[in-house]
Amino acid sequence: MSEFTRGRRTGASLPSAKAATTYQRQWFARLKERAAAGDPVALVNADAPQEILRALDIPYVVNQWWASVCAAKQRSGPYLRLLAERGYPADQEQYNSLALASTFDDDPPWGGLPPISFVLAEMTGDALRKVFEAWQRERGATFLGFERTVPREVDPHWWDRIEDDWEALVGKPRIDLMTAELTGVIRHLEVATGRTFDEERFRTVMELVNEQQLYNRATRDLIARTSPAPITIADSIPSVMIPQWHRGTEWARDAARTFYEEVRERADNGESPCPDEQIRLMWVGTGLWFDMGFYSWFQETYGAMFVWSMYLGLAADGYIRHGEDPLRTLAGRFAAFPDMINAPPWASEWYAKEAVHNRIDGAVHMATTDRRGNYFVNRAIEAAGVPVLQIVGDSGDARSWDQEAVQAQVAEFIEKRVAPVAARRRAREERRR
Amino acid sequence: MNLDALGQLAALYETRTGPVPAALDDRPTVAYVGADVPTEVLSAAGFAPFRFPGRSGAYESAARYCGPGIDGAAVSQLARLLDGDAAASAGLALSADCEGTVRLFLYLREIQRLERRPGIPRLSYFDLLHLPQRTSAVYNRSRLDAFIAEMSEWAHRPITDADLREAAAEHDRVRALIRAVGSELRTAPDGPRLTGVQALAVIGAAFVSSPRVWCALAEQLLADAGDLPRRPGIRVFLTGCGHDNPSAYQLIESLGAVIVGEDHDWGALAGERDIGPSQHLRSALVRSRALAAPASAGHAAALRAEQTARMAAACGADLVVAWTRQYDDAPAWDVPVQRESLERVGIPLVAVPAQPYGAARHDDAADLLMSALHERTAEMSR
Repeated sequence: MSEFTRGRRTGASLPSAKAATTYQRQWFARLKERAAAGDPVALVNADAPQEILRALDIPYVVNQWWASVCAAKQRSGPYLRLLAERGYPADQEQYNSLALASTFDDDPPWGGLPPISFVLAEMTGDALRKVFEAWQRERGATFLGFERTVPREVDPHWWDRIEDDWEALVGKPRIDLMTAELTGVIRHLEVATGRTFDEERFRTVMELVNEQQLYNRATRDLIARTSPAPITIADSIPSVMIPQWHRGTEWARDAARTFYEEVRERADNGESPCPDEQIRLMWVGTGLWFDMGFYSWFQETYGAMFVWSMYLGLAADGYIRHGEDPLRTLAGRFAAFPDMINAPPWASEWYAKEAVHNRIDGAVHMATTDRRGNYFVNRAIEAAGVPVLQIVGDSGDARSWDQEAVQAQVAEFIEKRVAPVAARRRAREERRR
Repeated sequence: MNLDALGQLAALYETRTGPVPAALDDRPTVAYVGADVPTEVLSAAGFAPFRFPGRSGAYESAARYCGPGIDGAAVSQLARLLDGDAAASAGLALSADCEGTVRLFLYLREIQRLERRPGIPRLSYFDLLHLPQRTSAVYNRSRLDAFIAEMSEWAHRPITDADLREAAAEHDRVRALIRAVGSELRTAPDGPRLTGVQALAVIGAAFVSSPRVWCALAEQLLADAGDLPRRPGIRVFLTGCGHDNPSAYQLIESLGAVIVGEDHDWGALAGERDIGPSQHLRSALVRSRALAAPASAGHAAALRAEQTARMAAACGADLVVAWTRQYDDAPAWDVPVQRESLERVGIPLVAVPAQPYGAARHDDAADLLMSALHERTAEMSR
């Protein structure tokens, strides 16, 4: 999420996006000072329950955020070669293994990660557990893993029920398991660090997370109903995700509120990076960290704005939970988290719901592998009347990214398939006004 | 006589890629995918478990559902299921043994929700987890109880612990004979009497025939073992991914080696999961699948590496071949750790680049293996 990549501006213009990026640099410097002073530091995967670390005041770095920094600094290729030199695979889980690879670099970005004492991660797929075990073997970090569970049957429309009815929706056995895992991890961290888990602080953390995501929901809904869109994903990704990695703090809650207020102000004033918005696009997949300027070319050329990414959408729908027992409620947040973005029908039906809610005219789906259940995602979005273009790319691996070829591919998609859909949508909306 | 047993076992093995029969030994079949499916439960319910593999070349029906990144074995299994290859079975049980099987279940569940296919039997899913902690064991027990209850519904009869105990003993007998095939016909001091290709078929036949039939044939094979010729060649132990077909075995043995053991669950690893005379049978069923005899997916690389070194040394292996498959992600991460463990027991390891599932040729693997085998032969002759 650097401001300049491959010589192209990302297009980020919101003060909150810039403030978040500045804050992140300051936070990382402070984190390294704490580490130098002897504080243990954790590495966590994006969908791990970071809230328990927040309650224990154990500083942590999010694996995918650090991978995005490495990728934005054009290090993905060299880092994957470093992995290969040590006998590890360099052609799978690139996004999740870049952080480990960065520890083999003598001159990593931002001076590199501090020593990592703990790794917390959920284990979707066959390789993730091995990647995080390698942290233990190579860097002496203790790996604290959470099982990935798969239910027999599911209600596809999870977003309608999950805030309050998560126990029934996710299933008691899965919630029981994760609650027990959380209990064990907390005890381990208490013993290992000498700290005590503060139940009151934890409750506050949980409340702050809900407040933060309510602001994100309001922002998502505002962008969804506003044309021209007040911002693009070049703004929303840093403004959402950096605070997301700090969720459970007052700063993160306030950053989400500021983000909302900035978007509200823009909407009220009719401001937009693309005043002549013609086409609304969604980006399905992880961010294109090494080429964040990619998105802006389409708004300049076609009036086509990438207004949606899963980062704000998931913040709006995926995190908020209410419950009496905060630890069980945290399990309710994460026990089924991979299902929301990676497994049919939860992922596919949600992407389709979001496409409709955000008045999307076309979806660009970046995927190297089929981890997401691409057919089902594409099918659901298309069934909602939105054409989909699937492109090949990996956020953690710039080696195979052909910027010009993909740009041409998306341009053709917009011209041939998306433009007519957008024209019909605009006409429909015009008739309603 | 022994050749008859071997021939019959080989013929049984070949049936795995054809349509699942409606019944075996007068019991309705339940097809299963994933080594973690507790076949003892299927037997206790009165079903005949029939392991359902992929088939080289069978992908077309699944192509629209599976993009790149899905294990070709799972893609092929989905294609076969969509083509109706399990239509005659009483059901299909899947487990969480690897991402390929998980994806297969998720996609089948979704296909049946969106566009129900009559040729796909009813589904069950056993969500067995693998972290070696009590938390996972408690979850696994609850899932086993649910799986037993579901199989009981399928069978229209209760499944008692006595039924389970009887089935466990029957399957333990199969596992004991798989181990005996290894110790007497593959790793005996006077040399192997089965090629790896033959051994794979002998063991694999156990997954597609009734325990009664398979045990009788295996006992006959063992009784007449002395009539089988000794197999010369460098002794290779095969690690890495699972092999539901003999193509890798055929390639390695065509280069003058003989595969004397392997740690995948279509081979010798299938003999390592005894239930035993446990007082707590359901816990023992879970433990045997979750913790005993770790496959690569779901298990720690260190645990896996220790097992590879132990099994390879017990086989008297001269060389370990790590064979990995594209999009079967786990095994490649084990290789650096396995290499270290094997160094400690003095056995070199050669790692083959990830191979496509079901390919007719593996030229890059062949070149690498030929070179490694020549080098090892020269070392051993010095």
